[in-house]
Amino acid sequence: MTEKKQKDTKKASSQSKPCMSNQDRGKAVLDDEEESEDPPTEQIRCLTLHSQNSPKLGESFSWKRYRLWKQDRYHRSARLERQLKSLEDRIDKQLKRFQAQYSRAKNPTRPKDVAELLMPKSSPPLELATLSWLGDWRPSSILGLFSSLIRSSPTLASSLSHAGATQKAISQLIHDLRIEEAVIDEEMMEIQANCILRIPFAIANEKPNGSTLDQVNSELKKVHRLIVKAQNFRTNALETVVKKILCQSDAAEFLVAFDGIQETVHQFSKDYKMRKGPVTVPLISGSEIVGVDSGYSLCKFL
Amino acid sequence: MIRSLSRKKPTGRRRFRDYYAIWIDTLKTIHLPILRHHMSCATSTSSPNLLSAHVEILHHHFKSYYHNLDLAASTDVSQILIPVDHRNAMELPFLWLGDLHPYLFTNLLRSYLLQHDDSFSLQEPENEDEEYDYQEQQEQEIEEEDEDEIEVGESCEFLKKQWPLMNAWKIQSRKLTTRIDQIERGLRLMVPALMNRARRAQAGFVQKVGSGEVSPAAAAAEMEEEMVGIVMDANRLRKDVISEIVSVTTVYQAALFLEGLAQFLVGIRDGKLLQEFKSCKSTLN
Repeated sequence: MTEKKQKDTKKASSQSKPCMSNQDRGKAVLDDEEESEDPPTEQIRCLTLHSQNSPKLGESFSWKRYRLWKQDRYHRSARLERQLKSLEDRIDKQLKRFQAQYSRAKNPTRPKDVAELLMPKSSPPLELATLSWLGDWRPSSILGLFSSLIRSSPTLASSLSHAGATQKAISQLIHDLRIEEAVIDEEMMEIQANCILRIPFAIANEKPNGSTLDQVNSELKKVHRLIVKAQNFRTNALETVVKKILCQSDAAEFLVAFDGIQETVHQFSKDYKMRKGPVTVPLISGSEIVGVDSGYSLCKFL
Repeated sequence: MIRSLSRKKPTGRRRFRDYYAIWIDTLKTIHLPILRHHMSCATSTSSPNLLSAHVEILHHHFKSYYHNLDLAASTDVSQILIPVDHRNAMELPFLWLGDLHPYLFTNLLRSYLLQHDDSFSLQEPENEDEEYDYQEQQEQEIEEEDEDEIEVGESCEFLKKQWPLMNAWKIQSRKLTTRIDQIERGLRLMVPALMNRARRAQAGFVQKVGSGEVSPAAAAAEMEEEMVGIVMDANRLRKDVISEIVSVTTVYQAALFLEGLAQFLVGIRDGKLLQEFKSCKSTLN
């Protein structure tokens, strides 16, 4: 039995020999393509390699055609290389644009600019409500978007060499970023919960406004520091995805999707704002309704 | 202003921005001065009952605001979460889910208790004022700021009896502290839960849009619904904490608490201060 098997395999291997040689030829061509970026002096070696295997046609004709083909190939690969370089440049440019947006707080910021950094007027409220945290994307959401893109886009997933491991690493990153976000939230909450004690409005009438303003500004300074922190996390999250995890073409795909979602959300939020107009309440407000419960006790006193 | 409140427009609705401006103005020009009058009135015309009534009125004013905030949130929650229309640049950074942070209320209350603890042990006021009839004093209310001007008290016992407002934070302070502890414990559970809900709603939105499950508009509609719930729960929390504080404190404590709260809301919208704030050229970094 075992001998028979061995024979069979021998047969199979001998049958597959021509295939192997074909593959070898293909490999040679592949190697050749990889070398295409090398200077044309290499041509001669490649030529001899190929001429051996090429069908016997007029030698000069084949030589000419091959030279043309080789030149064409060289130009094409050079163009591809330029395109790759320009893609890289474009990715860098786009990334820089985001970095600039995320580092606005590092520019000289006046006290009144803090509100604008937190809730930029250029973004409609719905856009900010759905996406923003301290003025722009949540860092964990950037990675969250990436993670959901991998799951939905097979091309992006397959291009990642270790999709499973990457997915795991991203989950860990999201987890870590959420902790950082929670720390900032905690600090922000401390400011919001104690502003009433730190800003002495109660004595604003007696003291010159200067001191009250100083207190306001000192609180806003703390808020500003948190905004800068948040922006750093945001920039790092985006850089991690674009520069560290993804290859060039996938990074481009991600940036297109990232920008696309922002644009879509911005657009429909704008439409929404136009449609809704400023928020209103009924003129005969609920105060009368609320008044019922306290009204009774009020009657007793008055 | 009351007239403008009762005047009915044919549309039946008004901009929340206008509502809030009127609400603040009513607080500033009517409720706060009346409350202060009853707190500081040296003549015996005012009684604890009257003060209590005004505390109730002011409390009601706050309740009606939160009721309207809920109504506005159910109309368009995004404009309540991002209240750039009705809040100024000085207020915005200090807001949490569209309004004051619930911790702010308990912190304000705690500050009165602490303040009193310090001032009580450090400086024992002396009574040099003899024109007061002790019987009258039992009923009168003194504004907290007057503490320095009117020097009173031969002993702690005397103060407890005679100066209910001034001594407001010593009375029942242990019972009150226990209750604040309870409220704070509750808040420490509920506030992070609300923050988590808000974060999860945002993460869910990005996930749905990113994976192409639903259109961004549909995802936003879903998220809006969740956000309305979050804002309403936050409002309920704020409203409940205020109500709880008013109910567990004495009338004098409640009066001081509401006065402090109202003064903060009015102060942060002060026109002159806001003007200075807007023209402030110094940078924060």
